[in-house]
Amino acid sequence: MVFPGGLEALQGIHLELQAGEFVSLVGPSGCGKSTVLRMMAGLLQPTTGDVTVAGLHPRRARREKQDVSFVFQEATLLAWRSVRDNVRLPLELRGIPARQASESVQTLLALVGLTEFEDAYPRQLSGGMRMRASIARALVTRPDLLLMDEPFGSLDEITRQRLNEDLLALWMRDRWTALFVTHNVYEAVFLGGRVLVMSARPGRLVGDFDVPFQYPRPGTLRADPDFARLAGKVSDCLREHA
Amino acid sequence: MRPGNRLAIGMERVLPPLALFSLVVLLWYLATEVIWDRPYRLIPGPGQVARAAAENAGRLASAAGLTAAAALCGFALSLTAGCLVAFGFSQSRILQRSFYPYAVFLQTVPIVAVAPLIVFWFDYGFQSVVVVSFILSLFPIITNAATGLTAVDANLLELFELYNASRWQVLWKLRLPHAVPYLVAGARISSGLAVIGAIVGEISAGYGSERFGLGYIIFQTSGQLKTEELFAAVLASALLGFGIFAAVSRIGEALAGRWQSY
Ligand SMILES: Nc1ncnc2c1ncn2[C@@H]1O[C@H](COP(=O)(O)OP(=O)(O)O)[C@@H](O)[C@H]1O
Ligand SMILES: [Mg+2]
Repeated sequence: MVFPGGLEALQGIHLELQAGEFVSLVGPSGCGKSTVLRMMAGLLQPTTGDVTVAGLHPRRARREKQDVSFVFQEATLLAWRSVRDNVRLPLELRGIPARQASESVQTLLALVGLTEFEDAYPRQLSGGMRMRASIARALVTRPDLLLMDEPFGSLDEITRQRLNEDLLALWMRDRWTALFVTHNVYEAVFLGGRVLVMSARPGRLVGDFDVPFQYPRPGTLRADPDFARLAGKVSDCLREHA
Repeated sequence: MRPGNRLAIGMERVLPPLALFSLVVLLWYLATEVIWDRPYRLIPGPGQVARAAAENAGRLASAAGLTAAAALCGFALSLTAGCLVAFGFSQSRILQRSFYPYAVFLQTVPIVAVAPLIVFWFDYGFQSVVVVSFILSLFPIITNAATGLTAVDANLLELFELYNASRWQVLWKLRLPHAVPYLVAGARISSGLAVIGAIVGEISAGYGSERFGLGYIIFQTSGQLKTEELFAAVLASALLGFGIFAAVSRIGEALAGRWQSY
């Protein structure tokens, strides 16, 4: 991927996700992680090579099945809408009337633990709760592919760990395919069935680690020596190519 | 919030400016009517101004009413035209590039210089005053509304694109609501300028002598060195401007309350 202006952001990225897989992607900041996600969402055209989602061009996949969702680093909620109406937005944009959407919205609000706050406005929520709303919004369309761009990067450690566990529970329930970008190695290993490592710019894939721990993964896994060993290996790989 | 609390907060907001006002009037009184007590003065004392205001109360009130009407008409025109122009700007780069310099021109043109033209086109009278008020108050609406429509978070635009939102949906559900607080801020500034515009308009393109606004009284009394009445008219103008500004701010707050970002 070369941006107009000549900046080469990505170089020879080849990556394949199996349906239902949870893959983490780590890399130093500026290495092109967001660029990869945006290409997979069809928001950006690669200069060379191609991207397919379920065998289709991402934009076509989106138009025909609408099965791709995105969680940004910031919650990117609409400040003037209540939590409920924010979560309902994707359905509304598809032309589904509010009443018909209500069941899916309520289900998702319950799953992310925001039922009590459905009438609140984003400014009345904590950062963690806003991110929960953002995840609920992404899942309300029952996507097949969920792309997440450092969604918990600005949260405190405890909140981040809680959300990691809750995210896995949501994934276990519906088994969407997940690509989770982070610069936190422990988060990558805790979540992913696979951890991909990218080098500094121009970004290349330099590591592909299988994570052998069974799902569901309890929070105590983080204290497991094997977990620490694997995280150490990923860190080494990251450092080597930074 | 308990009502007592709310009252206390209200007092907290009202008391400091009230105290400052009393202090200024006191100093003004001391300077003009005690220390520098001469028969002929450039600055009348507060007592004299109050007397002049009371004597001319009817005249001032009807003048203020006419000025207020002109200012509100100018403001309403600005609001309408400003939103339309901003909307055009947000929809087309070329439109924005071609027209923006002229919008800036409206803001920077010395209004006194074009007043003769306005009179030439619209004749002396209310309508010309409204035009001056409109010209002076238009710019903040255009810039603020245009900024509100265009300065939308790139991620939100991507989110809408991701869900295949139509151009219409992006406009209706994202750009327009995003512009509301910007427009409210612009309207506050614009409302004050509309009052200034009405007064300047009355001075430079004023009415016939049977109907006159505050600007005409200011013009007339300053020519005749009736400083007490002049001061009374200036104070009335200030009050009028403040009143309209406060009303617009209130309405704006009520409208944009839930727009507060996080
Ligand atoms: N639209 C763009 N135009 C030009 N350069 C860009 C653009 N988007 C990103 N970049 C550059 O590409 C590189 C990779 O960006 P990004 O994918 O956001 O990295 P990461 O998400 O890994 O931090 C960065 O150096 C960034 O400045
Ligand atoms: Mg990024």
